[in-house]
Amino acid sequence: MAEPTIVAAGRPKLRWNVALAVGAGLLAVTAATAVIASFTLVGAAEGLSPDTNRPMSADHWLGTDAFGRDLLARALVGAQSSLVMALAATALSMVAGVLIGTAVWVVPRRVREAALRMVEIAVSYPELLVAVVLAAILGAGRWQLVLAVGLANIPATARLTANLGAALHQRDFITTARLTGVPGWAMIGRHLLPNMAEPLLIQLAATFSTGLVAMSALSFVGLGVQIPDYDLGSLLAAALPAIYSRPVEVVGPALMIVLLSVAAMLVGDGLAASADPRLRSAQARSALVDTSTRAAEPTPDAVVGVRDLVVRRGDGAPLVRGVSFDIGRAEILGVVGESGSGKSLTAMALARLLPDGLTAEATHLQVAGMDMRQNPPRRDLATGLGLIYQDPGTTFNPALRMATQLTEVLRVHRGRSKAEARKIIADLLASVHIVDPARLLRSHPYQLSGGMRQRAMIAAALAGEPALLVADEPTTALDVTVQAEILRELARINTEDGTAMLFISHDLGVIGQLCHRVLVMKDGVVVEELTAEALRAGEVAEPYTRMLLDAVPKLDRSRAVR
Amino acid sequence: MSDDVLTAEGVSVRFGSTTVLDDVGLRIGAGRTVGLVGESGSGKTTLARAILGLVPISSGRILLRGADVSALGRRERRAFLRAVQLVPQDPYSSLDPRRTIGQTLAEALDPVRCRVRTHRDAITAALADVALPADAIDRYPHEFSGGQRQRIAIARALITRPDVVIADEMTSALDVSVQAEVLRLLARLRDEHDLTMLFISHNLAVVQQVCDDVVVLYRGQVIESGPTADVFAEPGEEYTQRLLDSVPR
Repeated sequence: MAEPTIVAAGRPKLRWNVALAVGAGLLAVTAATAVIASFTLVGAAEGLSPDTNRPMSADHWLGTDAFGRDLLARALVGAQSSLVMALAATALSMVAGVLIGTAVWVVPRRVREAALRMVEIAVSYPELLVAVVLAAILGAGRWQLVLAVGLANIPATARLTANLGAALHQRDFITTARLTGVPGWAMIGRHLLPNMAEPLLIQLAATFSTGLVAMSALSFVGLGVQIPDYDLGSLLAAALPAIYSRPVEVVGPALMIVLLSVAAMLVGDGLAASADPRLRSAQARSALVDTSTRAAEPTPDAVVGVRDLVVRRGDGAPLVRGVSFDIGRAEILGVVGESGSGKSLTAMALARLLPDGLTAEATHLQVAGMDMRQNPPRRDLATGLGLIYQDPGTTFNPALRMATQLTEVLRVHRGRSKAEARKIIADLLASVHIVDPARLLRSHPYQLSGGMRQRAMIAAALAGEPALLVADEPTTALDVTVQAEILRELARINTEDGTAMLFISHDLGVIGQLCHRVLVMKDGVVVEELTAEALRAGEVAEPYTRMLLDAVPKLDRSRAVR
Repeated sequence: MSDDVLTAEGVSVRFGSTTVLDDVGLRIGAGRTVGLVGESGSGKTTLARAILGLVPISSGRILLRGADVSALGRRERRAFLRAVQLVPQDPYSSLDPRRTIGQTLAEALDPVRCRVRTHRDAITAALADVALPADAIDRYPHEFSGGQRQRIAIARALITRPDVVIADEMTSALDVSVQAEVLRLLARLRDEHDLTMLFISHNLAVVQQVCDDVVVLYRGQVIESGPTADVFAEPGEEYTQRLLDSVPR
């Protein structure tokens, strides 16, 4: 559990980043230039003059057109027109889309289902196509175009908002707010919108950007702004006939479209990155790694030997800080600690399964004769150690039958035939007390209970006859009666087959019951090593272990009945 | 008993053709904490949600101080929801990450206007109740640890001075040391506020520590109930016995 990070609190402030600064700068300069141009350069942009078809010059930076109008001035004034239209269309589609998408989550269920189906149907038509049809129906003209593009973009925003709302709807704070009697509008304004701010800001930028392009495209094909009005699209259309003789005519409008849409996207990304309060207090903690306490030389015949294991985050901060231990043959070593103690990372480093961005280093890291610091062959890895994960609900691929998944190691790495592998797995399943192995092998994971899935997981881990079984909180997600069965199973495998085990748990009771030897971890270091008997008897030296022991509520069966 | 605060009488809940709760009866006396134990799928959480009106009940009734909850009008229902407060399991999901602690607590007090300034004193007092400093009011949930967040969730539930608190696996997502701290806090609050509580948990040792009475649910049915000491010392049902035997010692 992370310590409270005390940071200076206050009103949420906008935090600038590169994307936001560049995007906002670009957008501000381009938009300001276009707006100023629309006041000062109208004469040059629209007044006819005798200087027709001039090339680029100091007077006319992009030259003039067939009527002697300055092309740069036209591009800038046209950009202002496109900008206003894109803003209006974006406002229309965002306001309507977000309203629909959030409102569905505060109306009765039936209304919601109906509304969501309608949105889904609307989304299945391409936006540009809808905009073309709408523009054709509404007729040509500036505001008809805004309406067409704005309406066409509503379904996409509505669906995004509704999907974001669906994820939030599952969260407890929405339930408690609903129970408290928070009215619908406040639910939207306080809880729904702030928690979907980043994706909506990105959507806003994308809608603006695609809207600008779509309107330009419609004007380009003649469905939008009509002469004598003009926007970027109609300017491009006007430049097209002369594209081979005077390519410079397309430069102005094309450049403006690209500048405006890219700037809008950058602003969206930048806002999204700065909107999250969690990112505002991001801080890197660094600590020294003390591996000076040299552990004894590795024991030669141990199944596992680890010396000075350090696991680091990408920024160099150590999460596991110099852990050393051995696991002997037929020994069950328990590692206990609270969340954040590094117990799971230790196990995952051992199995070369660290999450992305974490790196492990050690002076010695040996499992079943393999040096895990090198890259052992996959086959040896697959058969040298077996893994049991915490949540049997997510360990298996829900789309495949159990037989396919359970026999994989045997088929791929042991070269067994399908029938042989099935036979071996069926025997293993029977040995972990699955009543009807054949039926389990035919099943999909969802058809099995949590206990059955975890037994299947153990059977699969044992299939390669591993020297070491790594079990990371294998019973935490299970009911207490099922947990008791699984623990019995693991103890039996250990005594019968002599399989060594590394057993990770936060539950001192479970650890004390199953393990032979126990490591207590805290903040990435082993604070105490003790025997299971000592743990059960409460003979511990370290205050932290004592605190942990005292914190565990004990079930007292002897309490007298009054 | 006339001093029962919350009563469930013959409550059944069906989802389609599956019966999740079958004729469940439960009574919580004033100032008592009733533990609801059972394995996953036994219907513990469904019962809590049925009491709160989050899932419809197909038969039976829920009574708060003798008044049938289903017969309440709009305004009375709002009063009921203030009188029965929920502390959810996951402190990482029960607080809105985009709202300060003050805003969260203000919303519990005044769901419509939600002004922190008007309720500043009440909020500070509620935070002090759960041993959090007054400056927590302007901070966001991510600045707190799991245990602190759960204390904030408790403060949020208690700030309306509810008749009944429903705690759904309140300590299950916490580390043991943090769980111990939250349980100590809970014990103190029970003394100080004379709380009436429905304490849902799969952890029998925690239930023994916290609860006066215990109700054992198995496949949607109450199979055993009574004072915790009696039930745990001499379980009357084979299933309860098995449940108790499974706890590692």
